[in-house]
Amino acid sequence: MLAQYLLRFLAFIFGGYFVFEFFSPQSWKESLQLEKINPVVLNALTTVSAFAVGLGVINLFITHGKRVFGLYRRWFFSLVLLSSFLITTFCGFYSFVYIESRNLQIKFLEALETNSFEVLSIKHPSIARKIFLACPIQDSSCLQILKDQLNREIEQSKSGLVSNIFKVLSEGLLFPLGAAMFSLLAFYIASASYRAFRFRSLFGLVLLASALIVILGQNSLWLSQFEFFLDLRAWLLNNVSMAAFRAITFGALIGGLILAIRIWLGMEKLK
Amino acid sequence: MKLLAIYAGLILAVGVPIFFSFYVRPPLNLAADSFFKNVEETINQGDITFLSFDFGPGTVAENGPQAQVVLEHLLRKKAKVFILSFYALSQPFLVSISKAVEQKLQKEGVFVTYGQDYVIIGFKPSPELFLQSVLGAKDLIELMGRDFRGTPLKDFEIGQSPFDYTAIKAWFQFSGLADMLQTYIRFLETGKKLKLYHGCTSITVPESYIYLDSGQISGLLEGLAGSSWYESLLSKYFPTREPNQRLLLQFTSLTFGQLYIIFLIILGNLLSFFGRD
Repeated sequence: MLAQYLLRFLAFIFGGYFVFEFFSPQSWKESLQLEKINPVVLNALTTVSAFAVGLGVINLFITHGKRVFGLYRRWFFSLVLLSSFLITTFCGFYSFVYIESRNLQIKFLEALETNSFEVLSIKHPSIARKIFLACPIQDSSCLQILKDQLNREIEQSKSGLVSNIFKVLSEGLLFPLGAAMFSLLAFYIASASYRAFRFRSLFGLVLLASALIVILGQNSLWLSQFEFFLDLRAWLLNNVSMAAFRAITFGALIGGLILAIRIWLGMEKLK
Repeated sequence: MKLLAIYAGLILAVGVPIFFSFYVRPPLNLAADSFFKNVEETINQGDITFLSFDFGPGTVAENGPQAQVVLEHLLRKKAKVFILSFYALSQPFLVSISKAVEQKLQKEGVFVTYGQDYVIIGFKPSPELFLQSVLGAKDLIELMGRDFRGTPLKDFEIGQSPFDYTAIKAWFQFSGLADMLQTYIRFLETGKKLKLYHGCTSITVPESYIYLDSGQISGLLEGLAGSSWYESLLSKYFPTREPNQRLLLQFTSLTFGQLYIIFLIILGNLLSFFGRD
């Protein structure tokens, strides 16, 4: 119960801040130094949204983990999902840590040109230890060889096993599957155009005629050679369709605004 | 059986132009025409432009050719191009499309150099935060930091002089995601502070027209039809240029597919009218 009140209180405070920030005059904003507070509030929001990602991951593991370990219906698909998730995450992190650790060493070597080893080793002791082990005297030829080797390692890692596994999963599976999903739409549209696109009323006829004009106007047919036809298509898109879309957008935004006000004022029931 | 015949007909309609390699001339597209002329008249040598490839494998068939023709046009006009994306799955297309354009231009003797004429910034997470920072940043080179390979932008010729948003001549955004366009409009105050051009898919055309009408976007490319007309205008303005046959084939294939859909609509209605279905 206390948690619910706390959530409503926080929603009211943060919601109120943005309402105030948006509607208050510029002189108020300047005197209250809102431009300094804004980044802090936005950072807080980003942090909260980062928690949402973590929450989503936990939820994913609970839902699909139950299916896999309980061998429920379609458990195999859940296993594929979880294993793909884990492998992709591992490959991504591994590549990042591997490349970044070498990049830091390269930066350290570059900084040696203007700073002494002792000064830099105080700032970055772990990197300094690695450099010291590779080049104990830190002579320029040894440092150059080490730098070249680090650059080579970075380049090699891009065609290494971990990188290739990542490529297979993303470019070999995710991309073609994504494209295949969209291409299936064409078959649904073909089937729907034959079975469902019927004019049973005057409005149906108007809709059908508008669709035909817009589609035909896009094609290289003799119809699109007539200026009147192109103007008609442009009129449909610029006036009729746009007015309808504006009405839909206004409706959706008013709905969103009402929901936001309800959440802000704590009128929405929290579970 | 009936469904199988419909599907087979669709494969045939879409596949015939590709298989026999014939293409039809794209018709005039008013929005693409005005988009091209705006770019032609306002972008000059050395102007700073941004290109956002916010599309993945799902909509690359429509957004990919748009990005390709616009990038080619900008590089022909010797504008400085920064390419980035807020969509994680677009990373391979950032590289492949840029390389394809670079190779095409080099074949024709127009030499383009990475880091000098264009640079790929790569994927940037959180479009809201990044775009919000664009208007406030004094040095956009510092804000973007590195290219997609991790090389500091200051190491390239294109990143030598710092600039803020007022130096950006135009921002071109290609996406099938309507929300993404709204994010740009909201945070970049387009139409007022920045000129935004948008390439959308056929599905999001009606939604995008709202922003074209209000002046919040300065140009619109409607799906493959828009990029095909843009392609034909490129050939008209640069007569020595080789036409992009792949794009024209794609457009012809789409045209045949759409004609087949119209045929199905008419057939379905006729059969329904005569009580045969």
